[in-house]
Amino acid sequence: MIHDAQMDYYGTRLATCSSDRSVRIFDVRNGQQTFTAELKGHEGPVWQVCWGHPMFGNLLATCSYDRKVIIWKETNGTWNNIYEYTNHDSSVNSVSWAPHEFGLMLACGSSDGCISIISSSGDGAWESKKINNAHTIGCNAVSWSPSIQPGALLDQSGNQKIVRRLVSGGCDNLVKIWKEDDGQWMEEQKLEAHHDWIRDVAWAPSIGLPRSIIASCSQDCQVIIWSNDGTSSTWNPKVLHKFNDVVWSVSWSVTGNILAVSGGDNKVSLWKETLEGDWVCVSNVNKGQGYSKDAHDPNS
Amino acid sequence: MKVKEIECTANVAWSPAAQHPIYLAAGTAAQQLDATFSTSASLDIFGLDLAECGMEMSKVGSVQSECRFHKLVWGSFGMSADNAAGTLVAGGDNGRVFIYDPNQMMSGGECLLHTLDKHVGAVSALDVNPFQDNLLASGASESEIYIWDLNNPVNPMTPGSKSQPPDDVTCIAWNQQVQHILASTYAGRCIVWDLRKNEPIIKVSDSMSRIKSKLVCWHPDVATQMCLASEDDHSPVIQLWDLRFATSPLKSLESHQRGILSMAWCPHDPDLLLSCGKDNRILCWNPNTAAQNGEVVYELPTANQWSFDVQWCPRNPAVISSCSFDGHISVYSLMGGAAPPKTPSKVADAFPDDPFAQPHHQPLAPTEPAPTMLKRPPKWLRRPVGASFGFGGKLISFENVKQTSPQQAPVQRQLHISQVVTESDLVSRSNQLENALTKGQYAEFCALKISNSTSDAEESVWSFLKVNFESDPRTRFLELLGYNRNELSRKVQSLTTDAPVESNGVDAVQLAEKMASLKTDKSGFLRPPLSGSGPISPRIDRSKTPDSDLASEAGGDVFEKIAAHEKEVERDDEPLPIAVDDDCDGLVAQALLTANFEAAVEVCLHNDRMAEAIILALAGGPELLAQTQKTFFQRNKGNLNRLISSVVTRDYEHIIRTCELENWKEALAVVLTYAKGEDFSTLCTVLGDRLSSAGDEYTNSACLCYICAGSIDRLVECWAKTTNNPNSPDALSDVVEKVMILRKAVEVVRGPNADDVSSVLAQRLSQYAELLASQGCLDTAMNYLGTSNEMSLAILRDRLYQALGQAASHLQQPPVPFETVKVNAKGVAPTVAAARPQQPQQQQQQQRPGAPFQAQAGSTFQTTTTPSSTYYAPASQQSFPGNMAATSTYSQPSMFTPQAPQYPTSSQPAAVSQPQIYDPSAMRSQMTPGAPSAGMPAHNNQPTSMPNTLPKGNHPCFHSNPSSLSQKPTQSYMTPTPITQPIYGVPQPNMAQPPVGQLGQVAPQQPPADQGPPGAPSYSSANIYNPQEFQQPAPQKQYAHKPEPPKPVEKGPIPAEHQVLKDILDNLVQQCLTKAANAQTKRKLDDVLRKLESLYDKLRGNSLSPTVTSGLHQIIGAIQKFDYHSGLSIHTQMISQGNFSEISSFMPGIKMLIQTAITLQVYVQ
Repeated sequence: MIHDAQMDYYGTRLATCSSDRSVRIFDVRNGQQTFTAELKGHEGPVWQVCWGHPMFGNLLATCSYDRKVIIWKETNGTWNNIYEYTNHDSSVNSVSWAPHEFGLMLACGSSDGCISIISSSGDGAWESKKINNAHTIGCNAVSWSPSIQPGALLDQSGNQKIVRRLVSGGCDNLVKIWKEDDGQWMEEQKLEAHHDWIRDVAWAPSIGLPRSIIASCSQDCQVIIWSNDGTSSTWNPKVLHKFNDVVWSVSWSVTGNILAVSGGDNKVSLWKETLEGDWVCVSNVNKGQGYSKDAHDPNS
Repeated sequence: MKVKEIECTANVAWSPAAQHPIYLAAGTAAQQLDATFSTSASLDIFGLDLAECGMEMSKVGSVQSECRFHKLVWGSFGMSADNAAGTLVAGGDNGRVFIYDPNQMMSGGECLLHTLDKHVGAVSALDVNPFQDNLLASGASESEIYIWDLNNPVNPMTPGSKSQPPDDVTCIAWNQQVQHILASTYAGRCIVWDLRKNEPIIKVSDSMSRIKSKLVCWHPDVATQMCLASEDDHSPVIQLWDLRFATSPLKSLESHQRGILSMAWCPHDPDLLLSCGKDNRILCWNPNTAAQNGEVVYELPTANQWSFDVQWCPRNPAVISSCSFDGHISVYSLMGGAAPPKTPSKVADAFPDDPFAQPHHQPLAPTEPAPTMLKRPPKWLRRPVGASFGFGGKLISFENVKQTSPQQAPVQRQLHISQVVTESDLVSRSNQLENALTKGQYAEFCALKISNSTSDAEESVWSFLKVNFESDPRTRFLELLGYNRNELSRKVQSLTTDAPVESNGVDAVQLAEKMASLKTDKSGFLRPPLSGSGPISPRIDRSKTPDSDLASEAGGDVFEKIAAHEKEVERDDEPLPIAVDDDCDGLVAQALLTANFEAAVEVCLHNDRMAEAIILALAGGPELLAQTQKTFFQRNKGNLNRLISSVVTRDYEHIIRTCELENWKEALAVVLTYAKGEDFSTLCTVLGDRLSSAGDEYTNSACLCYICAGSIDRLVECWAKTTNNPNSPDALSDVVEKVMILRKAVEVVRGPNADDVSSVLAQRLSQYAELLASQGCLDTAMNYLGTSNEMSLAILRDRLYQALGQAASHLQQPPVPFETVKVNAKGVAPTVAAARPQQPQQQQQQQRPGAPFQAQAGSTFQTTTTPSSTYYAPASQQSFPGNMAATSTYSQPSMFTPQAPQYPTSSQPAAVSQPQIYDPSAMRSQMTPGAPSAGMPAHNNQPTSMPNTLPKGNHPCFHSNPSSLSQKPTQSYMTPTPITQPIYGVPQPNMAQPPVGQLGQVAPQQPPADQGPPGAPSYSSANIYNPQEFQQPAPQKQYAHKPEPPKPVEKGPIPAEHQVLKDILDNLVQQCLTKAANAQTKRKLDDVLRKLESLYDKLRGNSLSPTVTSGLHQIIGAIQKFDYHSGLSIHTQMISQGNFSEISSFMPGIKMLIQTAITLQVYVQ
């Protein structure tokens, strides 16, 4: 059973992970698909993969039911396990690399309820910070804020002052926003609107507007779009849609204007905000049968 | 991990799955007292707030109760109402069932809805139907089970007659897939009821009597599977049963050391079953693995004493509750988290660089991690689907196709990479533009845009852009602004002919008027006089177009006329007296005489003789002229004069800066006409700036100015203001099209332009390129990035270059727009280097071998082969004194005889000729418990074709197609009406019938297995729980078909004309019996007699048709003639022609008799 599939920064490689404990890398350049490597090291189903930014080389982070997070690095075609983070007491359900402006930094969410933020300067030593009891019974998803944040302060040299934030969702039905303050991670917001487990959260890439957007999806079959106007601290929820089945994942397009929603009924739908601020479904993706009007499967 | 705890000894019930937030109801447990010996009782509701870190649960509702409780259930009945929280049902120590409204309880209102006072003893078994939440089953002592309708819980129904001997009902459970099936446990036995039949349908008990089943729970997904648990300390096991093979359990889960007190099957994952026992353990099993003694996948770390209850939270699958005798209700998470931190090897940690510690990771690897979490992830943690975006609008989606058949086919895993195009307009427009740009069809593109434009503004913009690619663009600009030279000359001509100049002097006013009539047209009315100072507007080649020639001629004409007029005046004055007075004229004359033009002009000016002053100034040289003009304009400040002033002094900027904005066209025309190359675009830009800063109504005009100026950046800025949503793809397309065309135009005019684009434009182009990239148009996107070093563009360029791969190989690799950091792997030994390039897999769908535990999903027992009646033969021998007459209300008991061998005849009449299939004695021997079944092996070989005739699909019985059983209920199970009818209405026979089509096919051909009356020997040994016996209602059905009353005990006489049949046949049987050598033949003959009895009964009842009786007489005739073969052929003929149901009960007997007689060589007359 495949649990995640992600393309790298350039869209040239694909990593998948599976219940069979394996992580596989495919070259998908130019519409071809070539299996290039299998990464073995996890001792349980692998839940998620996340590609690092290329400035750090070819890095892949994976997390598994075996409570481990493994960071893999490819050098000259060979993948090596360069770091294993084993400081979680239960299944690690989600990994996410921070925007590269934040540095080499990885967030991990676990069923033990904690979120770990591990970082390194690249010298091989990794430092970890842990948010304990972030979500009772478990954290299911983590996602970083974009590095270019609306309304962020500029420092003397005119550069934006880096404020690191991340969003998480868990089995306590809550979406939480965390902010790094003086090296410590503090809960900044607690967003309540879902009635069941949060399955995925995704902080939208900045599209140049002064607002921040987070999408969350849940066992309660709903997707909620949370928006913050950039001046106040309130996040307004808007129910994107109530689906017929559990919604398992939400993913923003690279440009941040399309949201792909994937549900337990095996349907993938694409959503977009209209000028009036309403969210509309622009396409239902019928996998394997070509795509409806606006999306097509190039290989079908 | 324990997450919450409540201090009290109570029975609990979770709020139903649909309820949010989650509550836990706790009613004082009746089973024990605490140290205070208090007998007070209460029912409390606690809220489960996982967002709170503490162990406490807040009490949100409470009510005192008259008695203590044995069992609580919380159903969803009533939840459809607003704000309702379902229905809480409590089984009391005093035999009462209390029904509460939890919402009322929480708000402090009157919450007790009903008190059901029907049971005799303590009510310790309760369950709510999962399909119809208004149906409540309750069980108490004396084998009492009642089914209540919560809509009106007054008159409960029973699922059938009481199970004997009377015992306490310890547990009842509704089937999770078939709504009318209910399981119940009494002391040591489990009985399954079918509410449609109002009767028990199977009794589950181990023939080895190893367990005394106290608890029962159904498989969440497989209709026929259940678990039974034993409280007995000597056999603390949980047995998994499949009712299709109800002779023995599929397996026993054996790990508890003492009796099991509670058991719960996870509704979200059938691979998880919780149990707790008197050994203080709470275990979680996977009942579906192959391990014969069951696999414990988790043991809850619990320090409490015995737990007497465990339950899954219906809503939050990772949460369970347990109640222990030491007065705690605990809420646990199954997801671990409380494990002590691992301390691998302190020595190794202390010396991380110790070379001798190199292989330390190897010994660590095989150590089994402590089972602090489930061995395998529960179903709800396994994400089955997902979709994620990649660069370039690629969408990766994967799914794990659910198994469609119970066969253990590997799960299909599919992964798709798709191109998402949400801006198809943008893409098609981009393609158009690319086409035009590569082919250089700029003007054509503009023309297309003009014809497609929807607004005047749009049209004018494109017209202006188009002009750039035409010859003499400035003239064409002017024309676009409304200044056509032809028209102008016409107007001037008409003016001059209509109003010839007649006055004797040319005064300034007159001149001005004429100039005014020329408006701002350059047309050279000042040109001839200024010819000496060079062309004012070098960029306009007047000789090129006839128009301009005409215009200039026309303009020239005017002046010539003026000049001529002047000369005429002078020449007419002959002789010429030259005044030399000191008055004005004289002074002028004197000055002229000395060629002192300055003085002459001064005098003229002084005397306000402007015309003379200017004429004189003309002669005096450009400097003087300029000075004179200046003075003139200083004195004459009319608007026209300002214009003239500007034009004459070439101070176009003045016009541009001061003109009324509504005259922007005129101002632009001036610039177009006069401005020199270097000034032109500046001036246009200045005008554009004024316009664009003036507000929305002029922005389009400003755009036109910028287009004239070729000022791309300003155009973009200005455009951004005009557009409501400058980031929309349409708007971006608009601006990029214009910018790209204008760029080309500027290149045409000024040559290739290497200027860096401004940041504004770069931003737009970047947005456009990003948009294109997001739609998958990677190469096009690359073209729009230019060479700017703008960060955002550089990032995009790098990404595009890498993404394009070989397609971008002709391009120079862009610099990597970020500093690379080398990430080292220090401290971690390179444990895995698993890159093993294998054969490229080109297929779109990747299928991999299933994960080990995937292959195990589902029961291995679903792979059944052809059903065989042997499954049912050894069922329990215990007789059940239920009233068989109850079955007579169901006309279709055949549901429980799916593999009865009588069926084949219906679909295969041809098979009748094969005697052994229908040999009744063979059938009997097969069907009788304990009878040697090896006697007629042919029988076992034949039934392969039988399933064809069996009702399939929606057939509401356990014996239908096994594959349908593991699936969700079909619609016939979902329709809520049928179940209530046997309960609240008169039982309707057709309720239990399969769909009509199937019934019609099967029922009439059903041969009665036995014609004997109730009480006949075949009944006396009947065990109604032996499924094979369910064929017995068949004759009763036949009675129903033929309205014949139940047979009297004393049989009437056979009609005289048929007496011969009985005599001959009986005689033959007796003869055979005397010659029969072995027991088997004798048994056969017994069976023949039984079948013949059926014939005699029919003869007595006169129920046989004349064809049949005459056929029988023919057979008897043949027997009497010792011609057994003729008899057999008549027999065959009768079967193939006759009404089979009429004769099927006895014809096999006759055949068998004849065959036996042949074998034994017995003859009668």
